[in-house]
Amino acid sequence: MERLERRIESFLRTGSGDFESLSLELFRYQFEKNAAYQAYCQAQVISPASVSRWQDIPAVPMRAFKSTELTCFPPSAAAAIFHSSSTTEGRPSRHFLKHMHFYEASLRYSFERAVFSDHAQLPFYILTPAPGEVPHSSLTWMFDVVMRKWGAAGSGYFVQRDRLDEPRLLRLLKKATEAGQPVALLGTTIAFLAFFDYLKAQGDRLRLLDGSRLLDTGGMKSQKRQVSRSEFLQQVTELLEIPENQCISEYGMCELSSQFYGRGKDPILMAPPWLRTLVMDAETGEEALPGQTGLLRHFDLANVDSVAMIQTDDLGQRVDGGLRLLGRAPGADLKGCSLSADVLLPNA
Amino acid sequence: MIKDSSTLDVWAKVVALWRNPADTLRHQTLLALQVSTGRTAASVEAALSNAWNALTIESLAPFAQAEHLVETPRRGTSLIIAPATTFTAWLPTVITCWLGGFDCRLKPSRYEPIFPAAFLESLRRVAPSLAERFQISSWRQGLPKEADVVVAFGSDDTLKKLQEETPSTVPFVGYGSKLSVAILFEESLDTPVHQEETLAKLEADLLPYGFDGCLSPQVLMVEGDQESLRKVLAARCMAVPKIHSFSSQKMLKEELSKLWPYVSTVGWAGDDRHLKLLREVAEELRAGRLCPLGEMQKPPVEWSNSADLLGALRAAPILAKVDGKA
Repeated sequence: MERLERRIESFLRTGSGDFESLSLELFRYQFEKNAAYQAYCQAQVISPASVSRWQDIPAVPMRAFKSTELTCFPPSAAAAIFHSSSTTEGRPSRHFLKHMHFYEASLRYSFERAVFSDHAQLPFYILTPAPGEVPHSSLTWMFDVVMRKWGAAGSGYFVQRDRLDEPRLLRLLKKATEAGQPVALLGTTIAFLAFFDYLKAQGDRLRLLDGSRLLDTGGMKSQKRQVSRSEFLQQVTELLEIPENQCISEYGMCELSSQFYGRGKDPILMAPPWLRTLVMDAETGEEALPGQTGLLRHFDLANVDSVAMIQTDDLGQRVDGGLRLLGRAPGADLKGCSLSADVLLPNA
Repeated sequence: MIKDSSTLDVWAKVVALWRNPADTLRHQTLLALQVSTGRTAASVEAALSNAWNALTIESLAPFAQAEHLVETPRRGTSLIIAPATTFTAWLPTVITCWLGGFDCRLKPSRYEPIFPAAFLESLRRVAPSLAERFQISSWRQGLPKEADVVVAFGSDDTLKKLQEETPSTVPFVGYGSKLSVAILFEESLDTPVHQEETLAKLEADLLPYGFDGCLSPQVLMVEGDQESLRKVLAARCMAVPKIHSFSSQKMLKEELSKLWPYVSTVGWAGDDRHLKLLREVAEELRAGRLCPLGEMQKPPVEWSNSADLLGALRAAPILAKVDGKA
């Protein structure tokens, strides 16, 4: 296993490696060490001996992370436990990480190429709480890693106890602009929208300097307020003067160790070379035809000590160079023959 | 009289396997089901226990006798289309079909492939004669045309599409869109002891499938203060159903009328003096079952859930004799 770990880590640091071979070796390791995953594979009469392509490695549904400790090691030995923001019956998904170095190696490689290829010296203004306040947030952990690696002096967090500190953020952005300093803004879409509402209420707008950039992470799916990507970027341009091509969209989840990034109004999401995606036909459960919309299934080599192949409820298409994300599958919350009371009693 | 008791004798071995906590197949299935369903070990255990406890010989023999179920002559094959969420829901259908002379072909939900495979494996291990009468099929066009009876679990939309693919000569049984409601009368929550008993029963009804499945109490009608109950449920980290207060019979019936005609089961907690009212409520809602809280996820094998499976089995024609055998 040490040799496998070293080879995977090398792949994550350099972007170069034998994906096909490593994926099958990782499946063998996870089959042997992850009891719940082994039981799940065996119940479908699938084992490493019967799998010769990474595409045939059994995928675990995301909901499994809500009920089961999917680990190749004792969960009590986890270096970190990431929780999802969404819950089912009060339970979030939990992703146990034995080490942080796979996660961090994957993150640094991808983030640098997607967001910081110019290695500009920018303060990072982060519209989330600090890690100490939300220790199980993979998003906050991610922002903390990149801020420590690339953030210039003055970097910091602007959410505390669920409240965005709009006045402080506005003050620091104005100060940076006056000082001729471009900035990097990172946060959830909903936090940015809250800031935009504040700016509009104040009758204020900013002219952030060339080189400024914004990274948002979506997160609209559970919100009552829905804003299209186009509308969002229009506000970014009008209120911050950050051009569309400097607006980066990040697609990730607590169940994965790696992320996708894309730019602009209709982002084509690109993955690092150790993260591959299948688009699955929602009707047949088979791989969708090229260009067809389907449910996204990801294989992440960086998920070394949990499960690498994850079936999501996200809809998307394969396009040249990457993926187009189309939202969550309707009816993703399975009901089968039960009727949701929300349908009959919407105001209760 | 049941002329052929061998199916029940063999079935007893299958039940024994699934009720044995030390059985390795059971243990592995329990782990695998946590992954496929996203439910906790306690939930999966409760679902399995409820299902198998209702299908013992002690329950099935009188049921088969009362319904005059005979296995021979064989009548054909039933196609059972399993639901996505409640992974044990199709089990009573399988044993009923067998006792009624039908072999079974199960089309699992794409979301839950584990339990059908594990069930078949258990048959292979302890009941090979029943394994021969149970197949697992993936979906293909024309599958309903090959069946003599089609039984489907799913939303009303899904059932409609499936029925369109089923020939009109083939009986179709659909278990469609439903939900269940629990009524808590004042005396069931009036003291700490009563409250604890009632909440334990509610937890038992929510444990196997949460709010999924037509038997889960998604709606609570509470006689009295709903806010204090809401706080108590939240403090117990329970998922909170939709809660409505009522202070009169008229109010109770008016609120529940909004759920018509989708109510499967009415569960209740309180004194027996409410039974007349409860029977009226169940009648008006056309609910298939009225039962004490704590029993909502334990329907007896003879319960039809408003779908006429037995009628469909009887309506299917007997196979023409071939070489003197049916």
